Amino acid sequence: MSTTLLDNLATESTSFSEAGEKYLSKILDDTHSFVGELKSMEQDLVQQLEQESQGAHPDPVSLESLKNSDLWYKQSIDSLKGYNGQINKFTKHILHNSKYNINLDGAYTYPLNLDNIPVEYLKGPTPGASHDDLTLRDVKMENQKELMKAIVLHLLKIGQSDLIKDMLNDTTKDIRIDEDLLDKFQLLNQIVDGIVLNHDLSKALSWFKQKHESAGPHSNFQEIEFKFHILEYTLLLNRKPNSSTDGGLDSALEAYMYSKQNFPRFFDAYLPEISPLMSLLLFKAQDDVDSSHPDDYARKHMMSLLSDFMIKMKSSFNKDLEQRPSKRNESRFVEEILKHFSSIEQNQNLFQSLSNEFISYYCKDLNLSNDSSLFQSVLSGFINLPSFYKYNQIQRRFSKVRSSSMKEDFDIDTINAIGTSEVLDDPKDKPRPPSIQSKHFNIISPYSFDMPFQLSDSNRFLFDYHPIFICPVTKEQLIPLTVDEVEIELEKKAKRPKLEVSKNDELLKSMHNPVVVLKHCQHVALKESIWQLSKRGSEIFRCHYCYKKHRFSEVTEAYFIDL
Amino acid sequence: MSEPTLNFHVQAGSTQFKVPTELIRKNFKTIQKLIEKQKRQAANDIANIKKNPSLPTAIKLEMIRKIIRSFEALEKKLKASINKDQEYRSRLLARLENLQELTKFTVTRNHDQDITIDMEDNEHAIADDLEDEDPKSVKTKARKSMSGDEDKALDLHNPTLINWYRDQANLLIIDYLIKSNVSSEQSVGLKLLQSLSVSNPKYMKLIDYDLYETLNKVFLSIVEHHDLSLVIAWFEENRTALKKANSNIEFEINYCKFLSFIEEGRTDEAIKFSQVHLSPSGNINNYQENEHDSYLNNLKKLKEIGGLLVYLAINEHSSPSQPVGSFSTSMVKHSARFHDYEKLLSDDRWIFLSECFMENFTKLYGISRNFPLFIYLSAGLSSLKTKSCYCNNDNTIFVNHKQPHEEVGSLKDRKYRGPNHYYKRLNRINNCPVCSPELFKLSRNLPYAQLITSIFNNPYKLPNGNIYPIDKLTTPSSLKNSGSGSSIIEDPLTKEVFALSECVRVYPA
Repeated sequence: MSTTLLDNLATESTSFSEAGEKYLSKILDDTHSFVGELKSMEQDLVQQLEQESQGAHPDPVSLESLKNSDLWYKQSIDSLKGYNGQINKFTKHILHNSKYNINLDGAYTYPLNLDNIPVEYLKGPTPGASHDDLTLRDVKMENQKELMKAIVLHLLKIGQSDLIKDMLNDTTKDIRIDEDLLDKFQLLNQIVDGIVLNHDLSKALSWFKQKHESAGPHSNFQEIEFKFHILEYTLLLNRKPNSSTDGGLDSALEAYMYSKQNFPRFFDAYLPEISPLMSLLLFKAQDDVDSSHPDDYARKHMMSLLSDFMIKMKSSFNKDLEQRPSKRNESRFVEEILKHFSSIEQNQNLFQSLSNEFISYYCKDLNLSNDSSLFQSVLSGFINLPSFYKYNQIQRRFSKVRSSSMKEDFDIDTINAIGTSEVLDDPKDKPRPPSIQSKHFNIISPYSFDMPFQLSDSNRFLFDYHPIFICPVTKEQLIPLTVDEVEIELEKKAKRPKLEVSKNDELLKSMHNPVVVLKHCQHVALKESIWQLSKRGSEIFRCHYCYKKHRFSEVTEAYFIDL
Repeated sequence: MSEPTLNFHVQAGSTQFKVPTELIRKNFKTIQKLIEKQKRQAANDIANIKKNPSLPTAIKLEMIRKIIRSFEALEKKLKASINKDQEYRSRLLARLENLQELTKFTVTRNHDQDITIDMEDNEHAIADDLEDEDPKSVKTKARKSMSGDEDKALDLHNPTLINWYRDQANLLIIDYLIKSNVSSEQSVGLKLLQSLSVSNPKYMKLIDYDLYETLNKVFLSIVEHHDLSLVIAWFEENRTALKKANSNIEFEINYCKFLSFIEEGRTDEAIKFSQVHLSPSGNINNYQENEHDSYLNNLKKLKEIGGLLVYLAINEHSSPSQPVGSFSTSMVKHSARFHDYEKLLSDDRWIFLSECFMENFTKLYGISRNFPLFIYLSAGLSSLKTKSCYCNNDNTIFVNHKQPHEEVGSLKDRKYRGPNHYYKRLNRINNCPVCSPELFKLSRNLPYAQLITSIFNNPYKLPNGNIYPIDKLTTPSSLKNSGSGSSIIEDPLTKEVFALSECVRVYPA
């Protein structure tokens, strides 16, 4: 039951595809065999012609099989009918089946300020556009450029730097990238291609080496570097003896030499991981000996002993693994290698993951975030889209049932209309009645614009980027200091557009609302909440959690700082 | 509220089956036509032979050979069409396989099963949930309504699943780049697709790049080049399907063509053209019952056409050589209606037709009207947007964003406690995607996600008000060996040194 949708889809798709194969090749076969018949008739006629030219009077060739053209037609049409039936069945069972029908447009709850058509904004505005249109146009133009930049950065971070030049020629000409960085990403591209396409780690390893030389032992890289070394060791060990170019140097010996040279640095941290890997040397050696002594019985015996040993080793390693939570990531990797030891080259995912991990370290080294921001956001979209879809579905039902005036703050159109300055100035003033034609679009959301539903928290671990504090009293989210007070003052004086000033006013307000710690119980709340609790500082109040009594003067402002 | 489940991905992914099926159907029609045509022709030829049994053998032979040739030509065409069919079917299977990959990452969870997709059954439970702030009651209610549903959640801890998502994200980007392409050269989207399929050939089967390229080309031909030939060809190719869907695009195309005649000054042709192609649209009897809206729309436009001719006459007369026109002419020229006519002949009609085309195209193939990248991006950014986000100009590679080096003021300045300063000063990297300058700007109009308190472990407040995860605070190196008790720590931001006893554990939740 659990995978019915998918199973059903699989059955339908497969029989659809099989039908296509069957019926269409039948048509082709039928046509071909009819052509065959025609050709034999042609042969007969040729013969007849020859005989006639010699003066004979052979029996005229029967043209009866021409009738088979009707048969050919009938068969073809039957085949077509058969296939058509399958096409219709698939359409009905899958494409028109409400269980499968999720309209993605129905999950676009908060449209971006971007056009869903190819637009070249450089062309200048349409004449007669209103002021709002122009502002929106500017915002969209800027957003389109930003999206393009995000895509460029994404491509660089997935190792596709070759395309960047095309992209920048193609689209917006005023996007410029730091040349140094571009070179570095080109190198990354080569390293990643090496890992993923050729399973060649040498470029990555030499990058590590270079880093060591320039910056001294980099403890930041230890974890990933260790992974690369053990993978390289395993690859060496697995290399086929004939493919070795080092004058027939035995692969086990080569791997041994490699380990001798590169592992000692890691002994302190990774002895439990290294030891099972070293014992792999034994297997390899035995394997080779076996092939030169084709004694079947001894060989089988040896192999069974070895696999026995291997199992024991793995299980003891797995036991150790649980005791080393701090090195879990690396241990997992070793476990993965042990599991796929002899078929490591086929495990493309391992190389893919390692390359992603390398990219993340490489970016860190460039002082950039460790993953593509665009991917991180889209990933979050993949994970959270069901909620948005569901929310929209419910909205649609609500708006059908209720009149629009009743539940205004639930209406999507209204939400989209929030964000104009008037709304900011007086948050209590609910936005105007929803209207699809509403010219009021949202450029900058005020801090009061919260999503009306909560997302599942179980995936938060993927996206834990900031310390988040929700005031236990007002349920308001802490707004840390993110804009400098001076800047705001300057902007105010410069009389920047109203929207931005209001945004900054709000910021300024939020800056006076830091968290405070209560002196006697060390519980935390937002300052504003405590101000209210203490009746503007005039009364003794009780802590919202433990009811300990405090004065307003007994709280201290505090700042969360993540390390 | 909801978690990503296998079923949701299957449902969201089923759209990808629509385009190949539609392409198969169209190709099927081609095959059918080939066969029908061949049948008619063969029947003709055969009848000719049979009519005259006494034909000389040589002529009979020639006639048979002609039939053979035509059947062989048919065979060739059939093979080409069947190859196409195979290609489209292989897309279906590749997409199926792509979804089946997900079954490797499913987990069965006994608690936390607040997963409901079937809206019919669970409407009330979910509706209640939305208004209900208490997460516990949400779960119990949802679970109650779960009873029949055994959907499977996905294990997001699995890096291979994350890699799967990486591929899907790249496909969304390719989709966007192809559809939004404005250059006349080969689109970057296709290049990216080719480049990515070197290491992963399945990419080619997972996206209908050929169709999207057509979409893009036709769209641009209308808006950019004011050329109707591509859209007319597309309409002819899909005439039956479009008629079936009550499409009004034929009228819009003809209307646009009429205006083009007018614009070019070929008024006579325009009038003749409208008599043949536009007038029938004014007759309600030419519409299906459910096409009433189209009828009203078209009738309105047709009515304007007459006025348009008057407008033309006035416009021609008021050339610069006659600066002062008659009073009535200038009256008309300043009337609102006159401007409407001006508008009729502006570029608006191309924009309108292009949008109409887009509408028809997406409907015909069942693809989403919005670029899927936008849909996922908007949901993703909204769910990641926190009130701690700021525009982190350090996390970019674009030149104009690099800010001049900032002067270091007093370390104790309050502003350094904001995340926009402290990451940099602590030499830390902020990995938040919404803080990256590009996406920060894109997400300006989005709402903030509703979150719950989530503070690092062991938060300790230093006497200066800074709260740190105590485990990560170090003793300053100068003091490391000097003190015996050495219960001293350094604020990494202000470089102040405090006795550990002065620091207190705080309890944010």
